Amino acid sequence: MSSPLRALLEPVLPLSADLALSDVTDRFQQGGFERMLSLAVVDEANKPVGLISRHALMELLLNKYSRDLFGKRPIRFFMNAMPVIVSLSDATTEVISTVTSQIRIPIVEDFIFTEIDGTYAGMGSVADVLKMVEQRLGQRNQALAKANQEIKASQAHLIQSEKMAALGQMVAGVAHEINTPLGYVGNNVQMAQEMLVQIQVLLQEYEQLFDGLVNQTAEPQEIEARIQSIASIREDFDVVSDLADLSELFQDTRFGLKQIGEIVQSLKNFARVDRAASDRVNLIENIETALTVGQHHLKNKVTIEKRFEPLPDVPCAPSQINQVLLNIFTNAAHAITHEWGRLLIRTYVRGEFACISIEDNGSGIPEEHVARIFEPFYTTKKVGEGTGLGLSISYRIIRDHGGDIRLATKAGVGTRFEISLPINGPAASNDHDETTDGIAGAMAPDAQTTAGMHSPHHDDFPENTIMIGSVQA
Amino acid sequence: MSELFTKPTLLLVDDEARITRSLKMLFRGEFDVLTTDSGHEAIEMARQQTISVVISDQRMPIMSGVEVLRGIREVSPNTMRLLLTGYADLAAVIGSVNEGEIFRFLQKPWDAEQIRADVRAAAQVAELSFAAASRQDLQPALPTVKACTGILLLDRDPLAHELVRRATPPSNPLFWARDLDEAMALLDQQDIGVMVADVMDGQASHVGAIKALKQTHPDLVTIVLTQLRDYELLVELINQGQVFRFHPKPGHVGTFTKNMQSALDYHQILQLQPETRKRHAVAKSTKPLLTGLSDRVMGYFRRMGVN
Repeated sequence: MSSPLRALLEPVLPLSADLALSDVTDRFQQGGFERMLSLAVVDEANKPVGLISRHALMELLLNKYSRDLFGKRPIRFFMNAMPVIVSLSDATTEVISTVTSQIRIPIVEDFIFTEIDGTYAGMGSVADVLKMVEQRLGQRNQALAKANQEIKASQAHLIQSEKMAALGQMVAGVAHEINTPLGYVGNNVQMAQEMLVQIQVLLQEYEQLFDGLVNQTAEPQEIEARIQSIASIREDFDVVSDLADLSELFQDTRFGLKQIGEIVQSLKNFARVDRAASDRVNLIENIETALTVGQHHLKNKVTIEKRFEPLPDVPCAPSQINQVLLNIFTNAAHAITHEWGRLLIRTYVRGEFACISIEDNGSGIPEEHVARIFEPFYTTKKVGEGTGLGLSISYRIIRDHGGDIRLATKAGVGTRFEISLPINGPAASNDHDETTDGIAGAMAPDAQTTAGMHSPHHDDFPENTIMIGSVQA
Repeated sequence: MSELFTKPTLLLVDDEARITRSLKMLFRGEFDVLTTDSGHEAIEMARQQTISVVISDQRMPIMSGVEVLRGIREVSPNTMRLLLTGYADLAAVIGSVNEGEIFRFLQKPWDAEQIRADVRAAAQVAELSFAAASRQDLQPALPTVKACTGILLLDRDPLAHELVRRATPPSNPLFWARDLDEAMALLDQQDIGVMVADVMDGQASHVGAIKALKQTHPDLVTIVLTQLRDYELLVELINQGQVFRFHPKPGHVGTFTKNMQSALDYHQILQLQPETRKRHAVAKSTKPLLTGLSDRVMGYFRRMGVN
């Protein structure tokens, strides 16, 4: 038995219950247990029956003649018959809680340790127990601080890996978009160069023929050879049609370079590296940028319909808004698995808010997932495909702007997200909740919906964040 | 001018017309070039006429490049298939080998000289395959190839050995090489048609070995059995190692048995091909271009009063 309790044990000899008071007083004066406030009293079977403290003895002896009157009486008449007794076989935490809850203040007594069989083992000091408690609390604090640190680190790591995953996907898409024009631009330039060599050779022959004829220095055989050579080159190279082809090559090349330029520009717009972090921004430009950057997800798959009502410029961090839009566009693309994909993007002003609505006719979000989609780390994607942070970060970004994201969805029909941002910045967004009914109505023009049913039960986010309704496809 | 040689046909499939236009111009001197932006149309073309080589984009609406090449493989197995892609995920790389059985995995942007060399090489192989196929048509009694073609496993992993052992038909002997030296020795001593190898053996890479063995033993059909998921490495193994199948580790016996059978069948086809690998004739006609030129030129100048 190597219980930590053993460290607390003071194996001092106990007093027999029949020992006279004066003998007990002598024992205390003998020394050897100066650390102890009290001594245990045991019966014939060595089981503790009580405890006598220095404090109690002194109180007793302060009375005149008490030593003469009571000196011969056994200690059992003076002891505390209800001492704190703990067993060495008890759990440490149990002992700590027994001692600290039962001990009387001021502390004038120790407590008694017994062996498993109930016989006396020794004494324990309350001060030692308190020291032990303090030590344990310290250790626990350290462990908690460490755990807290680890959680923070792994959260930061996850957010970082979400960013990297999103970036990786974007790079993959952009690489494809750029490599295609780069492919034909490079090929065209290489071919144009080869053609230039042919043109050079042909022109040289013409030049020499011309010189020979004009200077009248050439022999007929020489002219004939020259003309043979030109005819042979012309077999391979048709000036009219090949130069027309070359001109077309250059046209394609310029188109390709323009396209690459546009992609690079949209990436720059997306990251807004050359703009202030927070600015008055035209949200419609943000939508176009996010669409360009995300086009590889959408192209070939989705018809995009834009119904843009003009929006006033809104103060926001454009790169963050782009991130939110790209996230929603990508989710929409992933949700569309059929060939008649459609994405309807609308902008409009409602009260003090500039709104963007994005509606797809994809698979929708099953009801059991809806309430959780803005939760961090919630994902239905396979491991490695998403960390489940996209929408929770989007939600955070929009809330930090004083705005809101809401959605209406129906499995098998589609999903509509609505982002609203305060036109005059976060401070002016106090009346935001007034618009709630408006969106519920807008989401569900027909009365056949379950709009609003789930939202009041959702604790993690403000009320009415999540609306469920039928999307009118 | 009579065409002594017919040009081989090259089919280009891409939804970006500028790509097909550009490549068509690159190849029209040596090939009859057909282009389409539709995968379905491409398969239909391959069904109706002899197409030596097809180059398809991977990412296209409706049909992916891997699907197009798989379709063409089914209707015209001798057409050599090349995938050209701006960016492909790993699944596309693996699919291009396992489903499309492609000859080359090309990446955009490409080098004109390199793609010319690849397409020429593909056209040569196609010519041989089509010729072999027509010979088989003439001789319906196919010589039955010995069933005892050996299978070589290059991988220390006992689990891999167990998988290959279970997938190997009883009539084919299985040889187990723990390293490259043992593999070389076995290839020299035994009649081996199919090699199963992992790309990594502990710290040692087998990539170089797989590529080298394909060069010294062109009839060897290689199945790569690996858990490695490295895009660049797999592309290298396709283009320089002519890997026949990628099989994930740990493998499933059922699918692996199918792959093994396909590999043995393919080895048989390679054996039936003629040894002579003559170059495809793309020579130009050599007859004089113009006759009596000097008379005509001099006559003209005389009329002009120059001379």
